[in-house]
Amino acid sequence: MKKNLKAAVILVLTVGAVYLFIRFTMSGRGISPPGEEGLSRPVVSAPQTREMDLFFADATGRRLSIERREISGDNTEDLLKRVVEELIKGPVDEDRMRILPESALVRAVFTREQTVWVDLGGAIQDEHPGGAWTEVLAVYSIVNTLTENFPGVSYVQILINGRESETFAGHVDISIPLENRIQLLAGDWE
Amino acid sequence: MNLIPQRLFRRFLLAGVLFISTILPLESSGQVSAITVRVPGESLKQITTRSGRVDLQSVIEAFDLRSSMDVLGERLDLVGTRGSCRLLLDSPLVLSRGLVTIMSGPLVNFGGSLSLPPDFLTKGLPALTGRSASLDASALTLGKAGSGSFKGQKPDELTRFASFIRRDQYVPEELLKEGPKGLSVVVLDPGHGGRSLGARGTTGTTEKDLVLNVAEKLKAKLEEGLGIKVVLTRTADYYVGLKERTAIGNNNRADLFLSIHANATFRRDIDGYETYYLSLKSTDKQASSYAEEENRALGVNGSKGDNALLEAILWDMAQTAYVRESSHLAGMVQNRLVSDLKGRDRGVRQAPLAVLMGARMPAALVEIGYISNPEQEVRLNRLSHQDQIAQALYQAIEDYHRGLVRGEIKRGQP
Repeated sequence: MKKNLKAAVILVLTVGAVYLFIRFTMSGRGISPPGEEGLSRPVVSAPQTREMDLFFADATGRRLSIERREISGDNTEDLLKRVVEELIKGPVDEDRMRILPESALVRAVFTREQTVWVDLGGAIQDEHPGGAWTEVLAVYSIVNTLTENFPGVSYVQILINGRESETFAGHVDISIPLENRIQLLAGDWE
Repeated sequence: MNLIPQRLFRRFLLAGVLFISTILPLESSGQVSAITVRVPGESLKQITTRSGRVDLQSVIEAFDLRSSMDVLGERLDLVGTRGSCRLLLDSPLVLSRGLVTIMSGPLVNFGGSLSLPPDFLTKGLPALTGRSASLDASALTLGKAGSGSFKGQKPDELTRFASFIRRDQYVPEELLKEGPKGLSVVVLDPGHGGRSLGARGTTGTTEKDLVLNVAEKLKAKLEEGLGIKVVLTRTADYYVGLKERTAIGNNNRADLFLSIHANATFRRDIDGYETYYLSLKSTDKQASSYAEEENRALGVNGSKGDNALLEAILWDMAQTAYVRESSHLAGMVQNRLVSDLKGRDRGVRQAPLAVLMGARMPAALVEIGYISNPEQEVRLNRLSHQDQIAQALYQAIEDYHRGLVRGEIKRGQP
């Protein structure tokens, strides 16, 4: 009797674990398909923890440089938001340079089809040091981090205080959804 | 990345100098002549032609036209007593009342003035005067009032393609051969201003003040040294939008645009010089939005998606025509800063900089040093150092000017 109970418990736990595992891996694979409601529809997925490649600058400020970090989120959108917040926290390794101001705030992150909208507070402009290339690296630290770690994400549209902005902090065009620029790891735009 | 490696470029320069000096005669300033205009019941008028092209200003004066350029300096509307037409810079199209016709060459800015092919007088002018027009070698004869009208066709693939072609060869051969060779108008763009402070140094230096000082010094040097027209996008501490800055360049028919900035980053130990020009390729989305705007300008309502290939061609050409020259300009600016000021060379790169987009001329953005580096900030505050920077930039623009005069830098030939 006791043995049967034990077997039943193990069976239930195994099925549960398999179910959670499948859900976890499916949801971790990328953005949920778009619904007709579009923007207003929250992406529902399970809490998850993943290793992410975060793009910071190298010590010379010429190119992007990757630091790996484990990040948890309640669902995919929450995870996307936390990843950007980790970028704002800055690198741990001293051979890398932060590329977003410490006081910057992520107001919201939302997704539709292959695009992620990242809505940042105005401090990201006001507190940015002001060099053109530092700004290029700042924009693409966000774009590359999101497109590299979330295969369902192809475009990143950055908003400042909820609105589209001509530039990120005075130089770099962010008026349109941006695509991955992995060449910036070598310090090249093209 | 540089389009042409520097060593190769130098060789190219040298070869160019040798070639030009042996083959070509001394430069000519272009043959100036006049077309006599006969209008029934009116006295004779004159239209100026230069190197076989009609000077637009003389047409405006002869027929008492009103002209207005759009804010970005892309479209020119002409209004006469009997109607109006639209011309697009670097394009052979004439548009009027939803119809379009193609001239034998584009409307072009060269050496600070706009010029047209002579057949504008027979193809475009009737839209403005309501008179027929016939042209022989040196005389234009107009018919009676009401004798002519604009003969255009509905925009189609052919006319759309003609508008794409424009960026490939935006300077007609005759102007390259006989027009002014060097720079005529330079626009300098001191970054930021007003509420846009730009970068700030640790002791309070602001980028907007620093770059204005340098731009003013550079303007004086260029006017004195090269005797050319120099326009600043701002002359004091006020805000100017990024599109306005390019528009000032376009509207002044500039043949060079240099945006002057000071650099800053998160680490104080970083220093050196950097120069940028616009990236050649942009995203597909950018290309299509540009093409849509183009089609709106032409009054074309093509169905979406049927001309994706043409749109891609259009975008590539739009950039190609200037990016090659811009890379020469950026390389020369960076060379002078690094060699004349003995600074750290942080390279010439392409970047998606908003202030360079829409510039219908070679354009670059220079970072004259890091004010986030305390030592460099102190240097940058010295008037003597600002003067050295202005001098290095002057030398670079003079290098570019010489490159044009000697034919080492080719205009509008990707």
